[in-house]
Amino acid sequence: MIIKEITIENFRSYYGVNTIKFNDGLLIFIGDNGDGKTTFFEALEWLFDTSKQNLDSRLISEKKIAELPEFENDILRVSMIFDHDGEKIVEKSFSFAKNNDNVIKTSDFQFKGYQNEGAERTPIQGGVLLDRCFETAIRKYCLFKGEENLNVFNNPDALNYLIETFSNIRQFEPYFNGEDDNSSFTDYAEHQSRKAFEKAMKSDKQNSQQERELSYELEELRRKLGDVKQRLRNNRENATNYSSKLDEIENSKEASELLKGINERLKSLREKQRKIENFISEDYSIKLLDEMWILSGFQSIFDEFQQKVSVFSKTKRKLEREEDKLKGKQELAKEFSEGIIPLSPNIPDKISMQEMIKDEFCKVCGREAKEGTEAFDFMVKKLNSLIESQKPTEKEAEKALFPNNFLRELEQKSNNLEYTQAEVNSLTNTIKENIAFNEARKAESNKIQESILIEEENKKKLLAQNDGLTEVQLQNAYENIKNWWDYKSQAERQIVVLGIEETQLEQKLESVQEKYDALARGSVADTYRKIHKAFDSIKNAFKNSKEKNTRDFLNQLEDKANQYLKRLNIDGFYGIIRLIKSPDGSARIALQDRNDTFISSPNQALKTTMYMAVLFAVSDLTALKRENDYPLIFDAPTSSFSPQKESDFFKVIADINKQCIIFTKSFLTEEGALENSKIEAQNCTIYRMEKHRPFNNLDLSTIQTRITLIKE
Amino acid sequence: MAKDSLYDVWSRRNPKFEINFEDTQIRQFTEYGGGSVESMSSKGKIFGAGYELYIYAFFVGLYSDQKRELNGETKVLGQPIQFWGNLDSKKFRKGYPKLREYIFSALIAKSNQLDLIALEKEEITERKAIDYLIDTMEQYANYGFYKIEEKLNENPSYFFKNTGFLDLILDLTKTNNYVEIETIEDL
Repeated sequence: MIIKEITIENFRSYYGVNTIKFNDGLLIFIGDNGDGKTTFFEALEWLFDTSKQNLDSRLISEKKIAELPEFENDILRVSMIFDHDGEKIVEKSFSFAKNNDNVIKTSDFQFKGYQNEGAERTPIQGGVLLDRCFETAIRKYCLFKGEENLNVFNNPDALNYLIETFSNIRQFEPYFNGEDDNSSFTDYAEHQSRKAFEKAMKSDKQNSQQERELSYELEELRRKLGDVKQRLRNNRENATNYSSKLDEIENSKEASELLKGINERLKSLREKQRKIENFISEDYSIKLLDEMWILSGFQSIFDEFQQKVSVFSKTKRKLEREEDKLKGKQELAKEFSEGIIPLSPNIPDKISMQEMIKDEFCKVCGREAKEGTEAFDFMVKKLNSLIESQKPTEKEAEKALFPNNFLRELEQKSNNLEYTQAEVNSLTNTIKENIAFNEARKAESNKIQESILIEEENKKKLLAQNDGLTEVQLQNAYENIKNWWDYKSQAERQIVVLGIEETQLEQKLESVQEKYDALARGSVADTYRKIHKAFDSIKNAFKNSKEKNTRDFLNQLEDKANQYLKRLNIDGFYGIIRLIKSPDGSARIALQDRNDTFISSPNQALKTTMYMAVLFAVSDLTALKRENDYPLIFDAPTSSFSPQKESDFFKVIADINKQCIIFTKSFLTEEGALENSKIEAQNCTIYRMEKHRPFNNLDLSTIQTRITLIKE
Repeated sequence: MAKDSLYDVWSRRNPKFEINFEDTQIRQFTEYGGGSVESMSSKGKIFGAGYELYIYAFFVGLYSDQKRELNGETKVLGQPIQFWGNLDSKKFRKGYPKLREYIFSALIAKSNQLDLIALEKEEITERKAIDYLIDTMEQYANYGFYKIEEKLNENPSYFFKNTGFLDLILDLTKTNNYVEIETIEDL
């Protein structure tokens, strides 16, 4: 939508018919206080309001009313010609009349619209036409009064609206809407298939006892998890609510030097605290392993080990010595006892022996040696030992007393560990020192915390202050702020605790679900389990891609906003815009420097350009999506800018390809005269707004705004 | 062929625990049964692999000088001892492979059924010897798990404070230290 022309008739200070032509790009209205800038803006707001019929007589020009004869009527009208797929017109009006008591009656509210279809101009209800070409929700991102209202994300739903309308997320609606919403397909399918699965499980007699126990457990866990999630949501809402309440108050005191001082001190205290806390490392459980602290009581056990190895070694050596002795003795004894050196086993030879045995006759002694006699046995024995002695001399290794030598391994281990034992023995001290170090840092941090609390207390008191408050009112205001503060911290603490609880329950649920699924394996319900698993995977796939779409959209918005921010802040620090989405779906705009440090209180001018950059980005993205642009209209957005910055700012906006209408008192000297040189330097259309002279500054009915084109 | 060292054979084993501790402890405090070490802190887990709690339980039993036989159904850990505390399996953590050797030395010291002389004489097999060591290990750890359970029953969040796991170890070893100090003073 591009505005081509606006006509304001008898609206407050716009007496009679005032028609202003618009062109694309930047358009500046210059006017001093009371010259009708805000009134023009409000006339547009009134026109754009499609929600109600507003026939408020206070909207009517006082001058017109003063001039209006009794019983005559006139009309209040705001109309707009705009381009949106061809030229269109919307016109809102009502008529008013004065009765004999000089009382104004309003009537005949009309909201008309026309659109060109080919060569023909057809009427259509104005509200309908406007809503179609310029959606209500988009108007949120279009009209801005003053610098304070530029933060569109102050409204918690704003981001959700943007995402839902302009990212591709809408396409997911039929398939996935979010947890606990069974209206979409994947949720429905997952839910139904789970019910079918559970039903099949229940009808399976074989596992009925276990099924009952597990499904009861599952139900309990789901209930608890749902409960925790609900509480988390509530706490998150509370935290956001209270912190935005506090922010609001803080913003209203932005200019206070005292507050600035406190905020700076708080910032440096927190920084210091963070640094100190970085030194604290209390991963004691991990250190038990990674630093082997668990060995702090190991000394006596290691002694025991060494003792055992040493006893082992001694015993082994002793046994070896005894064995050696024993062997020596045995050999000696053998020599002594035998006395005579026996013949070599191969006398007589093998063949002779075999012959003698066969003949049952000893040819050495010359005697008979029948089988069964001692002599015969002697010969057989002699032969056997001969055969035995002639076998290939595979020298039979004498079986050692200790075939194994694990002693050596253990001795090596012992020496090896001995080497690090000194460290192990001093572990108790290491642990003590470590704990003492952490405790000292904690004490330091606590001390800083005390200072922080004092500063925060001062801040609460300062925020409670307001001009002209009585002692009691001041006390009440302070109590209020203190309560909000407490509620906010409480909620934040709860969020942490509940977050942990949520994770634990989710894990538990997962593990019980696994057991339940395992129970199904091999049973008749297994097919149902598989079906449910498939639907569950599909649901998760949709859930993940929905989340990814949201992230992508935010990243895109962030990128664009940062491009604008850079352009709007020539030669100045500007930082990086971050759009931070909280789990409840709301978002906030924050500024970060290159090192990811948040800039907690950027100056107002930087803040304004930051919000504007986001607005331009929103407008860009929405234009892309809807293939239709819409104008951005700002009333006095640059009050906090220095003249130079303001001048630069307008130049940049003039170069942005976007219809942008700005009401400002820039380019006026203190005396209200135009600064022509600056105006010359601008590359855009400029109108001058001023009060028609002469006027009586006590009589509203003498006030009339005049608009003149001063630069085209 | 050279015989494998006792340590190597022991390292290839994978000790058992009573299955009831899987849900009540191992899955509570470690990533046992899924997940990577990297996701550990995000899930609020204190230890990484399941064996980390096992090592802890073992030392609790060791320092208490109490064993307990395993009963009922048992289960083994995901990784054999040789991989415990290896650096390559962990990000954001420090490896502690040496701890395995200390555990081994404690088992040698404490496994009284193991007759080292008999082993050296080959009167018992290496396998049998390792069985004794593993048995000792399992029984110490089992006692440790029961001790942890006892602590959890007294106070379910005992181990979720930073010093929880450390405190128990210090408590168990403190008595030893006191004795030491007293002896020194006596001298």
